[in-house]
Parts: sequence; C-alpha cells; structure tokens
Amino acid sequence: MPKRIGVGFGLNTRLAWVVLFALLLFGSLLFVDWRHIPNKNAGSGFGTLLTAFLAPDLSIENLQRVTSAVWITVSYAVTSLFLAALIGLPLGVIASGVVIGRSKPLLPLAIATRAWLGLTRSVHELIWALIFVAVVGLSPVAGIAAIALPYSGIIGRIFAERLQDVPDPLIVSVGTAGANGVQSLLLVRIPSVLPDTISYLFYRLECAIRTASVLSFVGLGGIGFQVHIAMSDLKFDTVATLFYSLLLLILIVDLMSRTVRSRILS
Amino acid sequence: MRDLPRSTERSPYATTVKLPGLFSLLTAVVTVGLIVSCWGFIFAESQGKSPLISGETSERARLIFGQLFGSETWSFTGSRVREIARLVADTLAMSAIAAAMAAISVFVLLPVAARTNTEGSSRFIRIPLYLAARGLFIFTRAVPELLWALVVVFVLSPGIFAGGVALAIHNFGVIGRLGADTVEDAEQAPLVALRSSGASEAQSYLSGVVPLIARQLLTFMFYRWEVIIRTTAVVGFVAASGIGYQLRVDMNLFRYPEVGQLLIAYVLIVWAVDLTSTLVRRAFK
Repeated sequence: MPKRIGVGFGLNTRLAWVVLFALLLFGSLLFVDWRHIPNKNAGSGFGTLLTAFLAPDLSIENLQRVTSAVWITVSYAVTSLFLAALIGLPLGVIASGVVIGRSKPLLPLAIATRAWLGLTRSVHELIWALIFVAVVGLSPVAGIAAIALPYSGIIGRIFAERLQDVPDPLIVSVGTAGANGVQSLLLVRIPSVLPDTISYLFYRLECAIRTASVLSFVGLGGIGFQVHIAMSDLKFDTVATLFYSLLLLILIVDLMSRTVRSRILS
Repeated sequence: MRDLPRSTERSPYATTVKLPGLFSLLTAVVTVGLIVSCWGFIFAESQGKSPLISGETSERARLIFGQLFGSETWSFTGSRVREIARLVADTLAMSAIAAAMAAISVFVLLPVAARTNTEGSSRFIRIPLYLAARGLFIFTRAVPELLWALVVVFVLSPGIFAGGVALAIHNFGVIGRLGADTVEDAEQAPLVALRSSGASEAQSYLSGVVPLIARQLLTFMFYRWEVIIRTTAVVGFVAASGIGYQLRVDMNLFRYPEVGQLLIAYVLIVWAVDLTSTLVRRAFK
C-alpha cells in the first residue's frame, strides 16, 4: 500500500505559526481591561484562600455534607458515562467504516455518523445542559443526557480511530483465512484495541466526574452546588474540603485504571 | 501407549482463555454494583419530574429548536454581526491567554517535575520538589475550570483575564503531567553525554532537555487549545465575558433566536481552532 506523503513543513512554516500565535496572544492582551484586575478583596484574599487550603474543614458535619455531594456527583458521572459508552462505541464501529469494507452503499452512513459525532462533541456539556434543562426541566436526566451526548461523540471518534489503526497484517491474515468484516472486527480489531479503550473510558470517567461536579451551573446538585453555597458564605475551608474530595476521586479513578490495565495486559 | 512429545512452543494463533480469577470477579461485581446503585439513585431522584422523552418534552423541543434555528435566527443586522464578532474576539482572547499561561508556567516548573532531570542535586531537595510539583499538577487537574473560576473571581475582577487564569490553572495540571511524563520517557543519551562531558546541571538541562520539551509543550498547548476554546464559553458564565456569558443571559430571557446565533458562532470558532491546531501540530511533528 503506498504510504501517504505528507506536506513538507520546513522551519519557516513552524516559525510562521509561532509568530502568528504570538501575535494572537499580544492582540488578546489588548482586549483585557487592566484597570481593576486585582479587585478589592485581593489584598487579604490570597492569604485567606491559602490558609483555608492548608486547613480544610474536616468536621464530621461538613464531611457528611461533602460525602453526600460526592455521591450525587459520582452518580451523575457513572450513569452518563455508561450511557455515553453504550451509544458511542457502536456509533464508533459504524463511523470507522471497517465492517462495511468496500461496499459503497453503506459509505454515506459512515460519513453521516462521523458528522453526527463531530457535531455533538463540538458543543460543551454545560451548553447542552442549558438546552436540555430548557426542554426537559430541572431533572437529573437532563444533566445526564447533556453529559452523555458530547461524550458519546468523543468516545465514538476515538474508538473509530483505534479500530482503523489496527495494523494491516493482522487483518489481512484473518481475511485470507476467510473471515468477513464482522468476524475480523470481533476476533481481531476489538480484542486488540480493548486495553486502550478501557484506559480511555477510565480517563473519560475522570472527565465525567469533573463535568458532573459543575452541573450546579444549570441548577443541579453535587459538589459544585456545595462550592457555590460555601463561596457565598465565604467558608473557604469548606471549599478546600470539596476541592480535596475531587482530588481524592481523581486519584481513585487513576488507581483503578492502572490496576485494571495492568491486569488486562499481563 | 506412547507419550507424544509435548510441544513447548505455542502457536501464534492460539488465544489463551483464562478462567475468571478472584480479581476479575471482584472487579465485575464492584463495577456492576456501582452502575446499578448509581442508576437506582438517579431514578429515585427523578421521581415526579418530567421524563427525558415524552409527548410534552418532544413538543417543547420542537418549539425551542424551531426558534433556535428558525427564520429569525438568519435575519440579522450588521450591528448584530459586530456584536457577535466582539464576543468571538473576547472568547478567542480568553482561550489564547489561558493556553499560553498554562504552557509558560509548566515550562518554568518542569525542571523539578521530571524524575530524570536533576540527578546532580541532593536527594533531600530533589525528591520533595518532585513530589510537590507532581502533587500540584494532580490537584490543579482534579478541579474543573469553572470551580477554579469561582475561586479566582474572589480575588480578580470578572473578565477575560480572570477567566483565562481559571482555565490556565486546570490546564497547567493537564499539560504539566503530559510534559513531565514526556521528559521522563525521553531518550536519556544526550543528557548523559552532556553530563559526563563535564557540563553543569543547568547547561545539560538547557541543551539536553529544553529543545525537546519546547517542541512538545507547543504541541500539547495547541492540543489543549482545542479543549480550552470549548470550555472558554462556559467559563464565561462566571467570568462574565465572551460568548458563554451572553448565551446564558439570552437563554434565561428565552431569547432563542439570539441563542441560536451565538451557538452557530460558537461551533464555527470551535471548528476554526480545531483546524488551526491540527495544522500547527502537523507542522511540529
């Protein structure tokens, strides 16, 4: 198979890009209104924040509140990721075009799926959430759908790319043994991309936890909701506890991802 | 009966089927248990609220989407175009400031964040610094941009700069981790050669590591820029600037044609940044 020859990018092209971005950056700084950047709190504010983060509020009462907020956020994250994988992985198979092979009539389907995945993931989860809440009203399912939609787009795209990138010799060898598109998908492509896909889903779980924690911006509960309350009460030590709970969640997901991955690969 | 010689070599086509061990069983039980209890909680929470798909919601969706992308959306005046252009410029400015700030601060911290860098210095300085840098990366990454924004606007006035700082804090953690991992995984030969030929620690860092990470950091910065531009719109909720802020205001006032125009502008700049970033990353490959 002929290797695709890329456009040759020389040092000049690189330099041009760097200069262009530098110009964009300087242009951007002109848009900033520099008059009131540090506001009236800034004098004591940094110190207050730093002290709070060094001494988070670990009272039983606060920990109970944080735990229930964490549970709400984790529930939103797990359910929306489950839904996103359920929708995104099959769409990824269709978008990759590996099953249909050279059958022309199904090609528009793959292209349409790719466009759909691209469109859903272009819009941020919270903007989807604004729309879903307008349509459905203030219900947890609106938040879950808002996360699941763009996440299915990104999961579908990544899965499609991985499936396409399976080395050709493997596919050809089962192809000559008589396997059709579906068989080579199930026997070769999916098993060989499974460990990476599982790692990726764990990474997405991490992202989903972060997104679910800010669903408070459209009016739903969870960690962000408690941060809002604590900030308006100026209880920065409670904010610190909530931030550390996110840190803990991300560390747990990271650990799970590593353990499962090493088990699968061994 | 004669024993057949056992083949010690396995056929490359043979797949090993392992029986589920205790670990796999435990993982499966925990995963299924977590998913089931989360769904259970969500079902309990949404009792008595409107379901996602019903006659009522599909009617409302038809109505809202009709207004979002109806004829009113497409009949805009010149002053409206200028208004949106200003919001687009603000959004782009915020994202560029954020991407650059994140990359520059990682560049400053990276000398201590990679295990392989500072072999010359004392262990009692090197290890605590390394742990502190890595800890800072994980913590800033764990908290989403919008929650950082809530804290940032306590000390900085809401605006492009405050939004940029909030975005930069989270992305500092993401780029920092990617950068430090790259330096640790990188080819050590140049560094070793420089050290053994008598170069000081600073000199060998400057000529052995910086050329590599400068290019990698640029690549990461542009890759993150794609993510940042999407998020810039929602950080505008808190930072009170750019497309996101106006989107939320118009949404709350049920001005759906205006929201539709902003959504179109938003998707267009997301695609423009994606395209630019892809081209730049290809140039730096």
